Amino acid sequence: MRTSLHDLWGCGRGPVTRAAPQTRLLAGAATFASCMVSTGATLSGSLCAGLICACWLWACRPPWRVVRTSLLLGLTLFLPYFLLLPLLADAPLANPESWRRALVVPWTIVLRGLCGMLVCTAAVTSVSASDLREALLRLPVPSIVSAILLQIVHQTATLFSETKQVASAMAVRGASSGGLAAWRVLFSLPQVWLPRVIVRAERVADAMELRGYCDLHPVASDGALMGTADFTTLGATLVALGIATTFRVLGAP
Amino acid sequence: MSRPALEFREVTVRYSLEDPAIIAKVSFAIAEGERVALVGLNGSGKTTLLTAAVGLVPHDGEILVGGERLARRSLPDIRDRIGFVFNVPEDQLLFPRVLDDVSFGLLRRGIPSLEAKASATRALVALGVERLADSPLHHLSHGQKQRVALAGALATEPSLLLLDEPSAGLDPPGKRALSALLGRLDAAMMIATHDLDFAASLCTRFIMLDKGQIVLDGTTADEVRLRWEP
Repeated sequence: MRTSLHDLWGCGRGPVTRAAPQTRLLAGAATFASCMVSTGATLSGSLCAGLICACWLWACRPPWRVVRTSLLLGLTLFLPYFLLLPLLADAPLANPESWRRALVVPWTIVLRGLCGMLVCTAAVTSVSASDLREALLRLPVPSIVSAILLQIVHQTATLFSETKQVASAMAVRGASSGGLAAWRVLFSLPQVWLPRVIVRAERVADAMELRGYCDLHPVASDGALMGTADFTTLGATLVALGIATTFRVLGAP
Repeated sequence: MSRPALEFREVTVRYSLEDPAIIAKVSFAIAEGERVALVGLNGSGKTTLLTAAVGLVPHDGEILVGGERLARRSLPDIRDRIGFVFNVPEDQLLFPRVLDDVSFGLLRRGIPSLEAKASATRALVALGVERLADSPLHHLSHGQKQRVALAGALATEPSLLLLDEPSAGLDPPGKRALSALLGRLDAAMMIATHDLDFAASLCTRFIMLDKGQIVLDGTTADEVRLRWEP
């Protein structure tokens, strides 16, 4: 059976899952910041970002297929930046220094983009959707923000399964086999799909109002305390952030 | 004499002034513990009537729940006393995990986490879906989602249950189990349904809507059948 995008949540089996959900989120954010702080202009910056990303992947241990898919998606998104190289190289083509300087820009984009993407994906695999709720409620996030975030995550899954149903219906009714029928369906889809999404959103809003979703967000009392795993995880990621920042500030080679 | 669990007094619902009324001057009362089936053809106003009872649509006239008039100020308190199940279960399931969703109503009322989860589990057991407690909601079938939505409504032990097509999507054993379960409850309930066999197994009163008006208020399903299959 094909798994849905939503099954990504909480599928990691790394040691970081021993920490409390809010710690995992904070550690993920710190690791992401480390990657963004690192620069591709220096070897130390590139190595630092790569190493931090690899460590975080080890700590979250997402399934290999998830890493592979993220990597492929990231490369597809960011590699085209290298096509800008001829535009960025402002000196004669024969000057290797000019090319090296030009290379730094797309390389930094690729490095940060790829590392950021992998770190976020790994962080997502380290928290289940249920953990995410608990983490957001324990962190000093405004309740309306966490309510909206949680509903985005939850309703994405619902819309995803609806999309699959629509795709199945299209296949069964012969609308995905190409030709004029496929184009007709493609153009009429937004007219059907968008009102459906809006109507659903209205019904969900009704249910949220009725069930008092936005009034109060209770948090389970178990697992509230920070333990050794939390301090270790947070400490390690903060150290990584410190190293990345130091490299950036000192301009290490 | 005790106050009705739900009372409509000349209630009219219309979405805009130009449109015809969806519900037109409807009046009825449901006694405590009474089980009423709300039947009618598609578009007759059943869902609108139920949503009006929890203040989700604006109305003219008076709606009283347990003797308390439905108004902006009394709405939160009244809603806490009502268990509502929408006709599309996906719409009311707001949490990614079954147990989180079912226990939510209890946690909102300030019940401690462990106790809330125990009560939620009991509700799931009563509906025969306790094995789904840790499942992600998007993995469930329509019938399973329906039961989870019902469990969420029943977990808080409301004094009034408003159920919109609760048997839709349930298999025959599921329908029988649901009928038996609802039959054991003391709560008053109003069940909008097309499933007359299900309604007949549970309800003692049948209110039939047609074009937003009550055209029948009887005590047997046969009276409804006569109108549907003359």
